[in-house]
Amino acid sequence: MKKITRRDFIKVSTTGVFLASMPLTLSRCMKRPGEAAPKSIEEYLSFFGVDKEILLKTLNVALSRGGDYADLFFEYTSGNSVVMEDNAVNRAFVNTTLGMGVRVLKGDKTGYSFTEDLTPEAMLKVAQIASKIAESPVKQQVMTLKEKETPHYYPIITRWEDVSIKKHIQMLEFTNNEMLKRDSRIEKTQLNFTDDERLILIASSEGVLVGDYQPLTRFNASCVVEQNGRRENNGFNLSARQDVNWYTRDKLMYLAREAVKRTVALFDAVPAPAGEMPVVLAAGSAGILLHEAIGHGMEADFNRKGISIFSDRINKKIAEPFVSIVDDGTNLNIRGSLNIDDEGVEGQKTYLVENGILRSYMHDKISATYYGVKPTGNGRRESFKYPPQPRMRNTYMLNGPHTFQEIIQSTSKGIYADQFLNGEVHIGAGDFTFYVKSGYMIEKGRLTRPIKDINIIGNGPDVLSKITMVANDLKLAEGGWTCGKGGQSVPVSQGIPTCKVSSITVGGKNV
Amino acid sequence: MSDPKNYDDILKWVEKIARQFGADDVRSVLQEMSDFTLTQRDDAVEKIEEAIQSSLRVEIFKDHRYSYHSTNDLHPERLEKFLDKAVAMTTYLGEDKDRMLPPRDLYPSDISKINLDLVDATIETLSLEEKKNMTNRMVNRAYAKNKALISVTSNFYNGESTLFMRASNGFFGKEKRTYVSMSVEVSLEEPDGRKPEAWESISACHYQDLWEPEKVAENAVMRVEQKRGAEKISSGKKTMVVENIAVPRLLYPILVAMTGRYLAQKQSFLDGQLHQKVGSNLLTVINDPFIPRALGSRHFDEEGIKAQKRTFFEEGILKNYLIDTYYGNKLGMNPTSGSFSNLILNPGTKSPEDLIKSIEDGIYVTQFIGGNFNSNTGDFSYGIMGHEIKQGTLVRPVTEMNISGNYSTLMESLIAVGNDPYLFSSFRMPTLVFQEVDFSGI
Repeated sequence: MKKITRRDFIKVSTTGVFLASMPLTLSRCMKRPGEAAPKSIEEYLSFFGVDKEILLKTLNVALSRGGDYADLFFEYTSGNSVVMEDNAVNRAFVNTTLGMGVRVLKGDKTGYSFTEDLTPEAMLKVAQIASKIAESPVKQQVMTLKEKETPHYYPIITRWEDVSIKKHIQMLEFTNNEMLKRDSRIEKTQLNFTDDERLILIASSEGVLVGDYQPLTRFNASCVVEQNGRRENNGFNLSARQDVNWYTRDKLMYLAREAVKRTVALFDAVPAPAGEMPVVLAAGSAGILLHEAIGHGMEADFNRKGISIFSDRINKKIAEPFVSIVDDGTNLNIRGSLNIDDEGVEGQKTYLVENGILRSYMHDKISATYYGVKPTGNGRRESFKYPPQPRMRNTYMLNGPHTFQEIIQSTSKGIYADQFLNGEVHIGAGDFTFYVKSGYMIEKGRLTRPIKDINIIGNGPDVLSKITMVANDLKLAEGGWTCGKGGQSVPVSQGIPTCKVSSITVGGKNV
Repeated sequence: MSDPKNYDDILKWVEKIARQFGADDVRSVLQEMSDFTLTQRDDAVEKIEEAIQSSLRVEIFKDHRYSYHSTNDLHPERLEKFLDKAVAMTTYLGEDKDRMLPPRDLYPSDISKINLDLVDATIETLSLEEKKNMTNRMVNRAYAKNKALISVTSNFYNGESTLFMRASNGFFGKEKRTYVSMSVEVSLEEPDGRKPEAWESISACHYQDLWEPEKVAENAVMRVEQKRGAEKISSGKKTMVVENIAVPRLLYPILVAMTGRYLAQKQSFLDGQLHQKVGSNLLTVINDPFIPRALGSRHFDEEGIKAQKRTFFEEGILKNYLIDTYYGNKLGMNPTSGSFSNLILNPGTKSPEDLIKSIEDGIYVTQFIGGNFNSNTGDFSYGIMGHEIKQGTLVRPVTEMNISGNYSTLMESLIAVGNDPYLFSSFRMPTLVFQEVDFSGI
């Protein structure tokens, strides 16, 4: 069931959502041996079984009622999820989808339809459905489509389609053994390996014709440990736009080590205190704070409608001068990186906050037109079944002037938040939360006892203004994060240097 | 596959081909869905989305090995290759003797005998103009109620889903249902620049079961007006009243901990608690799949197992887990179904207003935001929004608060239940009252 909501959220990708396909799924790709991905637009056209003529015809039907703009979005996804449970690789999930969507814009109105049947008849029919959003005598014709060059932010050597399931099983078994070797108290392990390939082709009424191949993988390892009749469960995961060669022996050992270490540490945890206090965010996935506190609020659709707490704050000071925050699609092989977005706009780095000043929203086609600016490459969609909307990519804070030691030493009592599971924001009021799976108490300038399972809640602009220290140790998240908005999920990443928020509400226990 | 619309024939063909490639058993599901969504923002249509989609899911059982495959590409030639590779892939996986289809006697014998009335044929007769009229009425009523709103978005959705399931040990089932929903989202601006938002959304299988558009809008406006001037308040142990629409988010983790997977993987705080007293006497929860027109009603579950009314909790005693065939085998338990249908918590006699009147110091939670729980220990921590209660009266909206606790304690601390089950969800839950909950604020 669909319903409108602005309860946008981010979470660590969970098992059971199978993203990818595999060596054993049906390959449609017209590739030659040794090629990592389609290289020319002709190969993309051939893959989807279309040519420029039918694309032009479909675009012109889409615009036949006077639409301002139309685009066609072709998508093929192929994904695998292989699961190891009870020390056996005993299940695999395989998914492939194929389809195309037609979008027609008239001002800020959208007409959208899609088909899973890529015959000319089916495509023309959905173009007609989408065209109905417009009723204008002024009609335009699309005459040509021109191939567009794209950057390469996720070069890989081996396509996931060419990786045997035996390799997956080997990696799962190796990692499982590494975990079991590390602690005899482990009662259960669960490992889930996913890989995903996404091929897209976009043709627009502005004459753009562009394709992209987007690999994605994630490896999650978790375990249940029992100690004195008490059980704890935790884990660790790695994710990137990478191929199988990324999973070196060292990387798999690191995954196993972190999964066990993070679980065992929970036994020593003490209840966190309740109330407002200083919170130090560890470098890395703590960038979830940025995703929730400012990221969603800077997506331009909410600002165009005047319903974000950041509406009308561009060029105003919102944080200390050492705070700069970007949303970046250009990081090499990072989970949220994009050569092109789902509107065909090339990946780029967008400053949301520069030296404490709010600089730019994140735009899709509609909002960029509304604001009279260039699109920022943030138009994304979950699949061909949805029209795009402004979405984040890799959102992170740049390095600041302080050090980790200075930040911890400056804190007489507070918490250090280290591992996160999920977050959520209400964009208009600015209230946001994130859930801390594990961390430490900070007492008299030192990290002391572990803590776990606490929610933190704050207000975006208020918290940004309370970032009082930023270290010089920026790290991007290593795990797989998925962002949900308007019923659509997309892969993202985030990062942050160690930083200190002087006061925020911690959901601990009243003692 | 001469007639692509004859889904039973397609599934028979899928089963035959998969078996030819070496599968021992096959479960396949074809689902066709049509969706229409109309979105209006202020006085203009913002978006119209319309499409039909289909999907095929095939589960392969071969030599006690198992894999699950899905595709939306139903072209026979490509589908045959897909099945060939699906079966071939399965042979590489580890043997798992617990993996099998449900016993035949768990399948329903005659679905047609139970009419759940899940299809409303009148929905597809609604014209675009009639739908536009409804979104327009919602927007108009919202602005009529409060001219200071800065944005109103209304939404009308209707859809139809037909699911066909076939299992090679003797089951074929079909479940068709329609959906219709209306929703309104509204925003206000406060003097300090905050722009609180609120929404109301109702869903049903039958169009006639929805409210009038005006009522949906009025509720959304009431909710946003109640958020104005929200303040941070101090931490402490207080009584918590949870509005009926917010209850599912609080109780869902308990159901997660009742599933076979969490029990078998030793990740459940309810492990070993079957037939034990785990909650207060007011905690009686029934899983009822046979309520006519209800969103969670069904004849069979994801494995084809026949729907059955079951008691999950009876006066605080845990009576059933959620056990599917696989984890039932692992745990040595009989399958009860791995999922729930319509959940009903026995309602009380008092209205939410009367419940609030009886509370001296508490918080009325209308919404949860973020948070999570630890399935092993039952510990939880969630952000909340709502109102402070003093001497039986809602005195002010609150913001930036968390609750923390443990589900074992929470279930025991249920002290009152309202008479107002929410009927636009498969969680048909009334307002609940819990004592001594840890709230953290300033």
